[in-house]
Amino acid sequence: MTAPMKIKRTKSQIAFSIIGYTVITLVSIYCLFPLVLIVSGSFTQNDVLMRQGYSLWPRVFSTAAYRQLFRYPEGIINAYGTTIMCTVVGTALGLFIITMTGYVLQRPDFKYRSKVSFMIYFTTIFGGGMVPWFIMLSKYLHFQNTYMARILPLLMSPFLIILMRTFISSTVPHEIIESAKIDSAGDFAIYWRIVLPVITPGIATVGLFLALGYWNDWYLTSLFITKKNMYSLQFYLYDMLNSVRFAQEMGIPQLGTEQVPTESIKMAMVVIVTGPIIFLYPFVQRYFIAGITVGSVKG
Amino acid sequence: MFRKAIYALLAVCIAASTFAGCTSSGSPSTASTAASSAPAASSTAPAASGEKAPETPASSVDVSKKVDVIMWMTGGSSPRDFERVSAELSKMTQNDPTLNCNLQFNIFNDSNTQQKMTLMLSSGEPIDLLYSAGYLSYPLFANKGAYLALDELVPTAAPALNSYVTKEMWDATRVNGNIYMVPCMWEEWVPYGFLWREDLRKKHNLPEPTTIETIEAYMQGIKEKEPDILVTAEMPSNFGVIGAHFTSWDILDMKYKWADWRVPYGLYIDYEDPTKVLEWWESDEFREDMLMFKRWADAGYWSKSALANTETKSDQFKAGKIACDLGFNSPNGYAGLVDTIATTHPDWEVGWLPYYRPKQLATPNHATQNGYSVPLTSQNPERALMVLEKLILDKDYYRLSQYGFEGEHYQETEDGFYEYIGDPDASGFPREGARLWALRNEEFMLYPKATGKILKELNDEFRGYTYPNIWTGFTEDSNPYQAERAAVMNVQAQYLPALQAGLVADVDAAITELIDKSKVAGLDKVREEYTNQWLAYVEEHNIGKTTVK
Amino acid sequence: MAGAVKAKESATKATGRAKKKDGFVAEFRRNKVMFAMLIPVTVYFLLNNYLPMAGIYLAFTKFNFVGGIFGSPFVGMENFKFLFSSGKLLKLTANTLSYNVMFILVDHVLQITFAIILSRLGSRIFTKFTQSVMFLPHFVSFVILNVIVYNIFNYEVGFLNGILTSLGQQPFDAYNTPGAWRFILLALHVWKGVGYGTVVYLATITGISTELYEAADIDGANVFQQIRYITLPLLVPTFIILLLMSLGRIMRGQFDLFYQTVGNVGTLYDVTDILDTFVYRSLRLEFDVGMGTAAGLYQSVFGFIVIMSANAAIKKYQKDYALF
Repeated sequence: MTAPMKIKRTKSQIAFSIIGYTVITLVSIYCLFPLVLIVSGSFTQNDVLMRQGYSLWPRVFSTAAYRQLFRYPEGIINAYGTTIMCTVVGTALGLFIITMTGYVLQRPDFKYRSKVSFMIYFTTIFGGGMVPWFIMLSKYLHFQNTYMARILPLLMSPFLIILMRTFISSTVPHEIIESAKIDSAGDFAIYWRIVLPVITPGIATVGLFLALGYWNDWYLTSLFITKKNMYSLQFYLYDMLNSVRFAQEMGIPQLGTEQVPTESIKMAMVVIVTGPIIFLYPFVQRYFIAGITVGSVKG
Repeated sequence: MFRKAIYALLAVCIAASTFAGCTSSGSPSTASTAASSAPAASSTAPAASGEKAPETPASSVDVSKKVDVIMWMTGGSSPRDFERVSAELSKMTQNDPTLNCNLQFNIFNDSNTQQKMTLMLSSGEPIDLLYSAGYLSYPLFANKGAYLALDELVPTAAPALNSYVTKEMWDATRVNGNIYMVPCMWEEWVPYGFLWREDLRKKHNLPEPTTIETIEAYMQGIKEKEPDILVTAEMPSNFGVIGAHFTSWDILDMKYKWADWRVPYGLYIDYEDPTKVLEWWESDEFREDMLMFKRWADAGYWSKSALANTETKSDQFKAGKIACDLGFNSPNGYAGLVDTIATTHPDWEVGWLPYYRPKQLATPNHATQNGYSVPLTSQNPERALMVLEKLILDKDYYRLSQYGFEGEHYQETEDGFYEYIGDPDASGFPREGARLWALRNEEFMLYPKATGKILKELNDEFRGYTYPNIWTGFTEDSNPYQAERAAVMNVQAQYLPALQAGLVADVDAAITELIDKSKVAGLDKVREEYTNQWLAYVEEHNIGKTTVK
Repeated sequence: MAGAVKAKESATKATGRAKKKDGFVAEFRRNKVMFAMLIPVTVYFLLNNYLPMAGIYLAFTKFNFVGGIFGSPFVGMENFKFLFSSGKLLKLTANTLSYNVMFILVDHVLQITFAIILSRLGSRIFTKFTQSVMFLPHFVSFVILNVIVYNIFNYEVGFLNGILTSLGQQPFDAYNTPGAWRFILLALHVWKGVGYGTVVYLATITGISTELYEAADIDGANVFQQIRYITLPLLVPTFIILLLMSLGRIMRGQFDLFYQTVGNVGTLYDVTDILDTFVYRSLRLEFDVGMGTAAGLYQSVFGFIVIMSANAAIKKYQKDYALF
């Protein structure tokens, strides 16, 4: 009886693995293909890039784009600094509020959970538009040229709150909370000591999304920041590109035999922004994979 | 369920009421308050600034109280040493007893300047001087009450500035009878023109591009003899009031004597007879033009995918990807290009035919092309104008704000040119890097050493056949037909670029479709309103009787 | 597991019923701490969303700078006129809807599939590497992506036609073939977002108790059966929540995706024009705050109706899965 079962399971296991590896490999190639063009483009001599287009390997290798971007490294390092700072502070603060809110909103004994969820969700459908929002932040909250402007608006989103709510309610059985209550644990204590430790995959996910939001931010800087030393990384790079354009429009002569690499510089910007994330992501990944291995090793 | 909706609505109402209490506070600091307190202590004014001409009438504004003057320039990247330069300027305005104010210099950081302007102006943020330009909807902002009327402010606060700007220029900035902008007095011509690789022309013995026919012959020659080079890289554009179009349109500047520039809504107004507004889309000329573009597209002078092209043409030209450009803009750009190519591709030669030349009709930028306005939210409009006066008419202020520190960023050559110190590309404050081109003053201006010669030559040529710019001062008030205008512009975006790019199967059918769909969207109403407004403008300014050559 | 859900449900019902009669004050006394825990979120949404929401009033005014938000003249439905008089509203609404429905369906099917596969493949190095790879496109803006897209699809010098002609095939004129863009846009959308969405499902799968799989194992269920009877049902709540989240924004499009790639190609508009790009084009020259707000309000009301109906339907079927 056990023998055929075993074979059947192994067969299905093999079938699954074959399908799985194939599918994921194909998807990865699909995702990677444009990125390879971008990286290769960033290392291609600009004239060649413009004349002959993109290729999987640089036709004529050149680091001009990176040299241009790192011409004044202190600026770009500073932009990395402010962006890391905003990302860390914003993600930590955002995670705290989002998990706390998600926790309250999934407590069945909290009477207004559905109404509050609705009020939060409502903001994704209706909005007053950019002008009143800008007035609020600049005129009443005085966010112009403060890090508040770069941190607070991205602190949370209805999507992340509701996601966290769903995550907690599907991970933490209600009975655990009930029994903790019977042991007369406070609502905050339950959240802090019982709920938080078991929702690490959820925290990793939401934290990752928050961090990406801060890391990629361009818009908030463009609206509220005029001081160069407070620019976000994305905006700093955009601004550099702009100043190159400006020099060209104004007919500022360029010395040297090399022209400003207008096209490859855009690609180098992507590499510079994305690079550090390659190091961050595996760190977050642990939280997904750790839980899985427990299951799959035994299964 | 609906209870929840009511909760939400309730919240909105609460929000609305809290907001309502505040927004009205952005009301204007009326000119009268400051003006009335003026005459008392004005005798302190003319003491300082010895370099200025003595006969300049003094401002009669009370400057005993130190105030902030907040100035915003047009969008873009600020130079590395911008903050040092602006700190120095601020020091100067604070130490100058005739100004006694703290000038705060800012540059919009974004390329989306118009959006930023709307946000800043509607948020009630105090701004005293704001860059303002026709292409950034100056008339629209003025119409919607974003700026203070300057008619009475300038003569009292900045009399020298008042007399420096000529009456014609002041008048040309009027919107609904009032002046809302201090226009730039520096005369500038920015025509489109045909840019080509002269070395390739010589190599294949092609005709010199002087007319549309010779341009076509040049393109044909390149297509046949230089298979590795694309002829042009024309692309879609949204620039200006004319709405979405394809850049092949630029070459028609050569053929038509537009009343300075192209007119929207498929209309045509001729420089020599501005009282006649003609329907261009319906004309035989338009059909011929579009047939020509179709011929060029079929010949492969630009890509079949041209409507999706976003690569800047000049970049492609510099990279040697294309041989010519049907709409290369401005003498400044050309001079810079020549200089760049001399170092990057010394074996090349380039030529540029400004489209003024074949029709021997040049028109300088209109008064509203560049200037500074005083927003409604200004706390100190008089002081703002006094600062503006200094920045334009005082050599020290001018040179510092336009060129940075002498001896560090630039030097004046013996023959009176501007010369970079060190690598221009790495300059901490490039020439006119603070984007104060609206304050240009020929008297103190230093032409750049490298490009100045070409620039001067071209400007001298244009001056030889220049005629007044009549068109751009016209302020279209689209309020009465805003919905129709939006709809018409949308139809245009769908059909006109494809037509001008020759990417249609049948030109006649495409023209009919463009016109028919536009009519459904309300073209007739838009045209009628526009024409009436134009004729009223022509009548009011006596155009067609005095200004036409 | 089904039992657990039931138990949870009945517990909810019991507590719900017991408290039904209590008013706000009683509830507040009982759950003071939880109210306190909602303070940050309340302040945030009040300042960032609800107060500025007053600006919806702008949809009914002709904005000017003297009057500001509440002092500008009231014009009723005037600002909505450009939407209706264009004669394209129906087409645009249909386009927007069909793209979004397509995006939602394809997104979730792919994301769930990839998440399940990734969670069960043995090689950790492989899954780590591929996951990172799938995530990277998120960092590429559509402006940059379009440079690549144009380089692939350009008729004369594009990557694709280079391959086609070298294989002796006819070149493909993508920018004059409207129908192709449904698929190209979908492909680009998937490219950019698939890694991002997969993470959500992956995290949910990680949260599933391993005991369930062990029990299934003992019962002799194979991989596919385990996925079918354990993993998929447990992903349903997450799926429904994500679905509802996207339904509310069904009238809003991915502006950047559409605008940056084919925003200027008028010949494709019949297929590629969505409400957001249309509004942007219409108002580019107007810069009218009122008309922009009006268009936004149309999208909001549409989304509101859709989400309220969907939520009500789901509530009827399974109360726990509802959004609110």
